[in-house]
Amino acid sequence: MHFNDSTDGARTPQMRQPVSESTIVEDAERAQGKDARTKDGHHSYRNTQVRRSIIMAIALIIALAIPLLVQPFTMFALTQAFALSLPVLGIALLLRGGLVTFGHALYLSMGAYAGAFLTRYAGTSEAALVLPVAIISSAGLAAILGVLLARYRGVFFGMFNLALSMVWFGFLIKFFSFTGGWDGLGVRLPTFLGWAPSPQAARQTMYYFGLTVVIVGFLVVSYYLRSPVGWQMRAIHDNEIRLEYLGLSVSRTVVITYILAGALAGAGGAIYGYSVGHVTPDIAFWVFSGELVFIALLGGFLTAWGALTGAIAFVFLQSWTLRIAPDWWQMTLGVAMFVIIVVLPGGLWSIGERVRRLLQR
Amino acid sequence: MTELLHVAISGLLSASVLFMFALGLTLVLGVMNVLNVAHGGVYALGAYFGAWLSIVLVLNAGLTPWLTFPVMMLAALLVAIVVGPIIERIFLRFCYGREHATQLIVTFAALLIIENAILQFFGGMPIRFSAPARLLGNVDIQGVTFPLYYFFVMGLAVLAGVLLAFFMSRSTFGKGMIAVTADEEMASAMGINVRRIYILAFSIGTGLAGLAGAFNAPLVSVAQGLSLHVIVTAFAIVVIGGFGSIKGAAIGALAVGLGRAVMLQIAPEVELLMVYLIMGLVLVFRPYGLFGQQQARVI
Repeated sequence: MHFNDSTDGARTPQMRQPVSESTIVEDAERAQGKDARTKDGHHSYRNTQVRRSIIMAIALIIALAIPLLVQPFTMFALTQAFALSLPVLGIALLLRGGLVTFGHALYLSMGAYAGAFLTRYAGTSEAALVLPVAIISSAGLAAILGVLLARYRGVFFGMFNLALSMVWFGFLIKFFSFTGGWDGLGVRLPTFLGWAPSPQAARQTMYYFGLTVVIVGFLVVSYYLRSPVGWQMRAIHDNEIRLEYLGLSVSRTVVITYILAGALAGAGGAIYGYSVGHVTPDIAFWVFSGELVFIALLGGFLTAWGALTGAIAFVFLQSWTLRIAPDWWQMTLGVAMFVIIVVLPGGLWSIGERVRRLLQR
Repeated sequence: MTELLHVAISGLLSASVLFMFALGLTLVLGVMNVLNVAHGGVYALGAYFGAWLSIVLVLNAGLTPWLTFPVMMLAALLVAIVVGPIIERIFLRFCYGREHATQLIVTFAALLIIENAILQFFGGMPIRFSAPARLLGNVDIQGVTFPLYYFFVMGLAVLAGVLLAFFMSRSTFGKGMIAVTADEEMASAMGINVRRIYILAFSIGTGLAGLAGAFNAPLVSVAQGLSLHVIVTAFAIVVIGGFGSIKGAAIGALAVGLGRAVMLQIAPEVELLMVYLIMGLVLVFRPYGLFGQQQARVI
């Protein structure tokens, strides 16, 4: 017997949320020289471009100077935020096409365990080896699973991802002689092409390493967003049948995006493993995947900067709560999730947009 | 032979509990189109309420242990008529018609809040509460002894499924639910109070989770993290069966319960994987679950 005999046609229009003004798409448009604002006469394309470059340069200088200004713990937290921002960025790319994955921790933990396995079984923690291995293994797995998953949408896509990540989680805890089980494995401090930073400088080095990987990740994502595939992913969210009528392959788009999302998560996982120095199966459990989806919504998944904003906010919320009231972490996280969804559906990054619109009025 | 019997009975037992739980989940999903992660939290609440109320009101008060049965029922009812509407009014109303990511995160938030509230109120120590399971005595089948309570739980699950199916197809409210599912606007134009239907469906759904939790409590140690594992298993069952299908939930629960029991016997390492293996297999061949229907794609 069925409660849902009808097709959901009647509900579909409501399910689409209005896209906020500054979207990834629009960013890409601007980058391509089609400034959406020119017609308002506010500022010309070149002005915008110059202003963006200046802002980017300032942001980069601040990011480079941070280790000189802040305490070691803050630096460590920021490194973690860098690590988390990459898988979150991958989730955001999929969300852009309307696909929710509730198992992305699979790829993050794969990247983290790549470092742990290499430390334990190859006796090396060379970053030039761990990072490619992490990226290739998670991207390779994403390629295989992506072909399988590209058929599914909505809840089925999310749940299938969750199931696959739980299989990996089960593997990690059951085959403990190989994976260390619940206790996990240690990850040694990285060496960079044979150069080992002194223990005092390790945190600083990790910070710069994370920053570099994040910058490269962001560049790859901005290239993807400007590529036809990136545009097609956005179109899938609106209507994938139209895409098919145009002669484009929806499943190819989904698979490519999924592989990119997996690779980003693998890279993030490698940084995560290095910065914590220890990996446990907790980072493969579905609750962590849920937290990653939350971070994507927290920052706002319509701009790439949202991923970084969300990750930084999350890491500081976590460390702050664990210091003040460790027993209330789940409650804090739950309330934060709820409040963000209700009050700021566009995420933290949309605050700036709101303020700007208010000033223009 | 005795091993086979053991596997069959323990499989059926876990299938029964999972069925009651998944039934609530699939009802909420079918009627309200919300994937409710908080369902796991409600299950844990049912278990804690059932165990705690029984210990405080009956066992510690020196009353006859037989009273634990009505008290466990009371716990499920409490969950249905108090916790259900509260969650619906606070959290679920932000979910209607929203994207799946939003729904999952809002109900996930509710789950985390419930988990933490349980930890604060009941503490981190597991509660042992097995009096009702021993009370009914044992029964011999082919020379193997099983607690009669196992069969009581199985009967309860069958009863819950039959009653719900009957309620949906015969009562005014049940028909109203089906109407709202089919076309919410048209149903409300015909004079059906959609909001009331939603609250009712959600209360029945949470009540079923509470029921599963309360009557499973004597069989396990009631501890933290209960909700996090049961909810993913139930998701798998609902996906296997197809959304909103009672028949699907029953078959999914049987497949998962029996499959896990068999695996526990022959290869305990991969017991956890069994659930996802079955789900993966079903999805590969039937992308919308066994009894799910493909949704028409809109141009």
